[in-house]
Amino acid sequence: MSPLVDFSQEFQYRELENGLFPALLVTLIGPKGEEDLLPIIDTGATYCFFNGKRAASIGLDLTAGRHEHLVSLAGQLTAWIHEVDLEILGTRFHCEVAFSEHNITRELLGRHTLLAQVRIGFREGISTGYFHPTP
Amino acid sequence: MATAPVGIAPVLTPYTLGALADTCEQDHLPEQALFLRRLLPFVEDIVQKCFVPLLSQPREGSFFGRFDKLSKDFEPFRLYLNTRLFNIFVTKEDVLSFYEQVLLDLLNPLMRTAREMDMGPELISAIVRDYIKIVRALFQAAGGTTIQNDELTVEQLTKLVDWFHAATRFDYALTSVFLVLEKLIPAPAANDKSALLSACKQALFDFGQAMSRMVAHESLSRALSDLETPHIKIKVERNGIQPGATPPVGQARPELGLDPSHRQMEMSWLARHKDLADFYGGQWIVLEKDELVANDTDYEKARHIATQKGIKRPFIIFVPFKENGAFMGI
Repeated sequence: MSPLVDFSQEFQYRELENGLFPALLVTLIGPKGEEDLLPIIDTGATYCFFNGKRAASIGLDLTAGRHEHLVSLAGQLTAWIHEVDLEILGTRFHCEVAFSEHNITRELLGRHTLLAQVRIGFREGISTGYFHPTP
Repeated sequence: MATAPVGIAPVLTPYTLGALADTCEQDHLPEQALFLRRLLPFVEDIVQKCFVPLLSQPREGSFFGRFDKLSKDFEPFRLYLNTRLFNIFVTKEDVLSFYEQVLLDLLNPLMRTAREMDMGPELISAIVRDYIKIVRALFQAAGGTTIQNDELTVEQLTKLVDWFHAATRFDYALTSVFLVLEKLIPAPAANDKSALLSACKQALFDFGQAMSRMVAHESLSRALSDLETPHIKIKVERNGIQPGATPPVGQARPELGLDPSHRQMEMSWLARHKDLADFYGGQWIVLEKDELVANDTDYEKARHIATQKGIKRPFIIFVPFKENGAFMGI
């Protein structure tokens, strides 16, 4: 028998600059502020990865985080790891995320501490994603 | 009485026929595969007779006039095709799931073409999903392709005929869309794209309503109240159409809900501005409802403008410069 997996929410891929992407509206919540952004779900990325410029806006001292070197397709990136809350489709998740030292053009939802808390599915053929706020 | 040949819309094009035949072969159904391949010349002739004139030059009358006439011309051929199709599959268990999977698998490459042609892939995929949802509800309500009543009153027969006409119009509309994407009929001009998708959207609603008049069942009512298509509006922009997602405010969440984001207006704005990189490449933009409230290459400046306007939680995103290559991660 095939496994059956339930999801409580469905989302459409978003049209970004060069095509449709499984991007989700996320509220990034820090100790002193919050803002909305539109990262792409990347199940190959270890960390959720956000532009470091956002750190100060939500009340974080960027370089006070844990220093990490991240390896990307384009080479190595320096990042700082912080604990934040991410609100996704109405549910808040406490996560460790990476903020970039330099400007980045895309932001990602990666695996570390986030994907273990949720269930995500894709039907690429109809540009639709599925989400459930528990594992 | 068997209603499937009359009441559903299998969207038979040379491409869907080929895909159905391939899937039959993979499922060890060689007779069905051969039958489908033999249907191909007939279907190709129907395309020439009933579909090519919808969009080719020279044209007669308005788009909707041609649509009405040609969908009526299509009706007997459709009935013949559907009857033959369902006769050959009558012994196959769960034929709906089989067909549904083939249709959804076909969508992937077609949606890529729809994007290239500015044909509103979001709307087309929503229409297909809604169509499947309606037909699945019908199967649930009627327990299969048969309505358990062979003795019809005049009133019931009238409703059945209405359903037949509505199914034909929807089948004609969706088949036309598929044929455009398969490039087997001429690519429509911007206004015709919009008209074709509007006709398809309307035909889907009429199909669902006509079916619900014939088969009153809770599952069907629920399916009809849970359609995605009504919330996607069609806007004509430049050479293409831009469907904007506009879910109704305050609608109760269905069990499997659409994105309940409070940023739907911002998402619609983004969907409408596909040329964002041309104007704001390399900049941070802040959107609030249907308005671009700030843009600057400097994140802090863009955010400051937004917060000065009283926005406590700005929706702020970076617009990359135009890229030719595919995104492969950071």
